[in-house]
Amino acid sequence: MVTRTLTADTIVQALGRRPEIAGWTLTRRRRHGTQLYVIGRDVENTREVTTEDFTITVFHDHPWPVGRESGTAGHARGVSSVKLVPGDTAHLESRLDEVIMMASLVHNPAYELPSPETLPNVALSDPLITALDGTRRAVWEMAEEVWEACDREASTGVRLSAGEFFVTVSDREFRTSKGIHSSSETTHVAVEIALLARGDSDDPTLEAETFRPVEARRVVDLRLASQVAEASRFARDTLRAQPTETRDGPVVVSGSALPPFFDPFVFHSGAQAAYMKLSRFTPDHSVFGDHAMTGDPLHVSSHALRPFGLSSHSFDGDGVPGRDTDLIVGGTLFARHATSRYAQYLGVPVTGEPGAVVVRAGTTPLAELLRDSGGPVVEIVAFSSPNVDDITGDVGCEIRLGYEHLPSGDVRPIKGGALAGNVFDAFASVRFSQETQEALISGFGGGGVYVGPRGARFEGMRVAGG
Amino acid sequence: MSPSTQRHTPDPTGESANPSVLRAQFAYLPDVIAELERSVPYASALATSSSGVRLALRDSEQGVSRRDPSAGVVLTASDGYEIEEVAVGATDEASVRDASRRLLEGLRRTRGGGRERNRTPLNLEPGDRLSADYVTPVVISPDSLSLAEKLARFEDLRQRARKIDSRVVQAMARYGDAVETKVFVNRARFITEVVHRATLNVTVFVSDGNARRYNWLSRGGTGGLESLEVDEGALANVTEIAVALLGAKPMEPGVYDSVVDPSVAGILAHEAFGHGVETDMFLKGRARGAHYIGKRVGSDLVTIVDDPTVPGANGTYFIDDEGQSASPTCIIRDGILLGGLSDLYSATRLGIARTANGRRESFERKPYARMSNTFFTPGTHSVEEVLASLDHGMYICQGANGMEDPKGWGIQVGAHFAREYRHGKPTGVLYAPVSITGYVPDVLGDVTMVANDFHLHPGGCGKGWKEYITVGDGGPHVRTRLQLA
Repeated sequence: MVTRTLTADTIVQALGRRPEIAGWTLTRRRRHGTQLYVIGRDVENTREVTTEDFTITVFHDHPWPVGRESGTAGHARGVSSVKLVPGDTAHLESRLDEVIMMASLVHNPAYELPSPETLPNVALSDPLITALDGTRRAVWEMAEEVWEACDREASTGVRLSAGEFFVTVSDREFRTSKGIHSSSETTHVAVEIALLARGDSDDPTLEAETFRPVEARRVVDLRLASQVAEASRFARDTLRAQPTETRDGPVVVSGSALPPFFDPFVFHSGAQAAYMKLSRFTPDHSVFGDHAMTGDPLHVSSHALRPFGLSSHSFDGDGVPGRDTDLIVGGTLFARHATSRYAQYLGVPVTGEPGAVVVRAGTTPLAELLRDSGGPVVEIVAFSSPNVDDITGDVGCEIRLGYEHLPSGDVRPIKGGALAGNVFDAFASVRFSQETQEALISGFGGGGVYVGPRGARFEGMRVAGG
Repeated sequence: MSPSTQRHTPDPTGESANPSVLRAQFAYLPDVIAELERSVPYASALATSSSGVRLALRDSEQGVSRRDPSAGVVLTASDGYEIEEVAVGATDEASVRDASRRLLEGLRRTRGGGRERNRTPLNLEPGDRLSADYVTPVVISPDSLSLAEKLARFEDLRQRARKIDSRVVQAMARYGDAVETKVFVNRARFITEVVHRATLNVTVFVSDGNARRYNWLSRGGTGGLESLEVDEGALANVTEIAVALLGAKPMEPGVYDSVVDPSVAGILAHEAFGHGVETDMFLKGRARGAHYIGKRVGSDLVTIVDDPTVPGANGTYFIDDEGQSASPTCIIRDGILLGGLSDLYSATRLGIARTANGRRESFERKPYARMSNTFFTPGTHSVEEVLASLDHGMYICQGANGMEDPKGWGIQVGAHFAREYRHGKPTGVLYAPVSITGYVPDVLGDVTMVANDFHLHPGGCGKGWKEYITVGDGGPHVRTRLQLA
């Protein structure tokens, strides 16, 4: 009988017939999802998407080429990957020929694949979605919830421009030549809404917009009603916002504008960054270099076990069990996050891929951070794009919406201009709010999650006028 | 198979990157469309695949992989009011016919459901009858080098960059080649397209023991290896700038007379009046430009074009993902906004002529109105004249990123560095990084000189934070006034 459709078992059997392979991993991924696109209350498009693929990574050990420097004594390890789809049965052997040939041509210091370990139980899927026809039902529930929330805002001059709703169920099977055989099912829900606010004028060029992307594993975690309420307020405030003025002075970055500022700290804490000679952090040393830490102590950890967390996992791409790890403690690099390969290269403990970025909150109420008897405090709640350079820590972000908190207690919305500075300088004197939030750490689909202070006050960032 | 004798990397899609093979492979699609159109007024099919090789080279690490091969079919059907699609990661007839059955089931479910539906008629037109095959011209095929030869060539390039200066702590070279096929079928059209693509990025990281800086060069577009040449001068320049950036100052916020290089000009064009005129945003009320068609939005010197037919450019194609034949669109001519870039849905709803700008990230995603190659057209001054005109200003170089604001006409462009100019000459002072913000009509209205050079750069574009596609952007050097931070 001819097998028409490729299966994981078929691939594993084929890999087993290749003595030249020193090791392999196989990831089978199946996804089914529904997408709904609306303009106002009109449906533009409804889509169903189904995919399945297999990613094969093979390892090939061979002598170091003559004249090539070697990282360690012994053999070099080549690694290469190829992806197949179920219809590739006829191509399996030729693709294995190819990926083995590719792996034989590249040379890396040797490292071992992880051995099987007990995996933690991490809840990653929404049972309401994984039920039969759940993806289609879920996108409509999300759309109805957004429409109802927008109806509540209609009297304030806000309306829904457009919405996009995505629900995907994925299941992943992972196997390795070291005997790991794991599987996980995950759900992913995502919504993008654009809200328009109009004042008293009928002039359509005098409208303002707020664009809001949100993602989660469960529909309930999207908190769509509160997202619409806050986005509506932002749209109304953008409508009356005045141009930002150039100033040096305290700046508070809050809400979803804050998480990307931690990206460089996570990058430089990584073992891969250290191996690439790009990390500016040294274990047991301050992450602020020569700057004295005068603000709230910086504690950053990686949490891969948060139930229904977007970055959570029971096992990572190498099969390493998910775990929680302290990275920065009291402003000092405590430990690096390290996948199996780079942990071996650096001789540090394996942590697996990072999970949610968790930052310890401060002890000051946000309202107090927004006050300063000496002058206004600028609070930035939305950037056009979080432009924070992982390598240098430089910040250059256009202010989409902010607020000027005056000593009198008045609050004026502002927009335009930019916030500029460097996170490695600015966080040395940061003050964190005691209130916390959970938000995306990078753009839509980036998959990173932040749990930490809702606001951070900086004394050393500059606001450039709009 | 001996690596030393193998002349090419076997490409499982290589045998199908041939129009006649594609036509044979998808010969069943017209029948699928005809069957769908017994139930709905419009249907179409798009089959896509992409495959190629990626190399990632850096100190003590080498990686090679098949570029994520992606192959699938998306079936589109409109019942005369709304659109439904079913997309599958398979291209065989059985899977596609099953998808067609599910699409019809979905449409029946939609009709029979209790929700209030869009009652505005949607009459999607299939276009003129066309049966055509297109293939990107290639001068130096990536298949002319074996994988071993590619590895050697780009590792040598990386090593040469690595050794230019003792402050270089890391150098990375990333190479990619790809073959992307597309088959579009509706009741009037059966079109195949094969696009070849090659890209190269070399990034150099430097450190003086304290600070770390980096710089990069990028090459590539549609075609073959001919677009990837890097001479010693260019390589040296990348490192020289990276080292100079170790001493760069933070930009002093303010408004400056500025000259932008083509890479920055390209991002300005892309973010300002590329995204600003995507007509799906007109439909959603999210584009201020919709109310300025026929009106002035820039100086007389400003002409911005979107053109998917530029030979060798990164955003070049023959048909968009909805079967529309590629052609250029003049967005702004002599400062007057002329029109937008459309996809089939928004053009139909708005009652405007279609342009060839309906593009998908992949078969897994919906089409949107998207750019192709977007650029300022050249002017009459030499680059030297334009730079010499700066009495006190900034020469802004190496465009890095940008973000659109079609509703507010704000602009955010990030550039890697700027050179200070006084009395028409560089002072030697560098500022990094550079954030350009401001109001689009001000930026375009303050354009006072446009040089006669022209460069297009490869890039990627997202719609908000997703839907990533390949594009090109650029133009000449342009002088204007910019708000910098």
